[in-house]
Amino acid sequence: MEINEQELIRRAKKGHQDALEQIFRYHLDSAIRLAYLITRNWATAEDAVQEAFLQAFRSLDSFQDERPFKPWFTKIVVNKAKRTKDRLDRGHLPYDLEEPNPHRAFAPEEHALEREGVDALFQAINELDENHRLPLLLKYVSGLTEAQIAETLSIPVSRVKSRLYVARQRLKKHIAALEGGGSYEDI
Amino acid sequence: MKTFDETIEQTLRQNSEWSGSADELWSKVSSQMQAEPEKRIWTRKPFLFGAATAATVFLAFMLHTMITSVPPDVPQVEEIAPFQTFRIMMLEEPEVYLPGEPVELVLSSYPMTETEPSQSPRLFIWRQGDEEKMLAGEVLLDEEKISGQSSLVITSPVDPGLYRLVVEGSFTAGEQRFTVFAEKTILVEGEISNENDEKN
Repeated sequence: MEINEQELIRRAKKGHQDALEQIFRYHLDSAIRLAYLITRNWATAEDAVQEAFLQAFRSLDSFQDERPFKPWFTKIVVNKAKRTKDRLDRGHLPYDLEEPNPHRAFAPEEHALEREGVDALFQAINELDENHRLPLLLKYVSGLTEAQIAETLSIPVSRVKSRLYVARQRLKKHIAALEGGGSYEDI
Repeated sequence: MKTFDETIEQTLRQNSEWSGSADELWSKVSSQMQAEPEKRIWTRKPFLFGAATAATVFLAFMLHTMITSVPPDVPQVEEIAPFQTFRIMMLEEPEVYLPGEPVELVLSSYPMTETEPSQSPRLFIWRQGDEEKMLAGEVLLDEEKISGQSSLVITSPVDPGLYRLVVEGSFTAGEQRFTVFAEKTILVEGEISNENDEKN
């Protein structure tokens, strides 16, 4: 958060609605994307994010001002999204599983080939197991560092590095197989 | 040419475009912030309220029994209560948390009678093993943070497992001494699946 996050949190702790709303708007986009990519359903993603904000705001007193807000909040979003997904998988929620994203829009000039590539990569990401998919989402959707991902998932940084490496290798293999040999450069 | 990182980021971004209304979602969050927590205990967790009521009645019964049948100079309530409340409340379905996540405990308080022992409020963390429960932690709570509050937020234990969280003790508000009580069963999640997968 470029604006003074600590000051904003301090004001939010005192109950200032405008500070709470600023925090909400700043973190909403990445939170809702992350929740959707975990639950694959917009209605449950919205429920999860709403619950996450409520829990975070009610627990602000326990949050230490000097720490970054995003990893702490992202941990709550992940937990809420996983919980609502479990309820969805068990049929406890009146929503469809694996809802296609109706909002996805490509620029008109985009190549059909590029679209196919994006679809294939997205499919490959969704086929990763949760241990490898979650760190990937936290890195590329939430923008967390490896240390922050480790804190969010309560695992060592070395394990985050290993999971990200394995995930990227699997994606590259998947894409290469689909494209018949084409490959991305190793980074 | 895009790097692989950029391609992954773009792919995820294009497949997670939300067209909902931020204003609408904010109005839901802010209205619930104002409506709760008083409302929540009655509407969303009636079973918890029922359990709290049962616990209060049970305590009242114990007090009454003590007053009428036990000499007033040897009250033994504090030695009995943790075990009994733990056993009773294990019937409740646990709430699931990640290690280190905030956990909200709803506090119940009522004016103390003269015969109740006055003790500083404490948080007891019971851990359920395969066959037995054990006291995993005991934390002395600041009376000022408890006084007049409807809830207490703590951090869930780091080790995965089933826990029973119990708050007991008393505090002073004005000139009156109050007994405070809260309890909740939580399941702290561990790692999701097998680590061998990484070595493949």
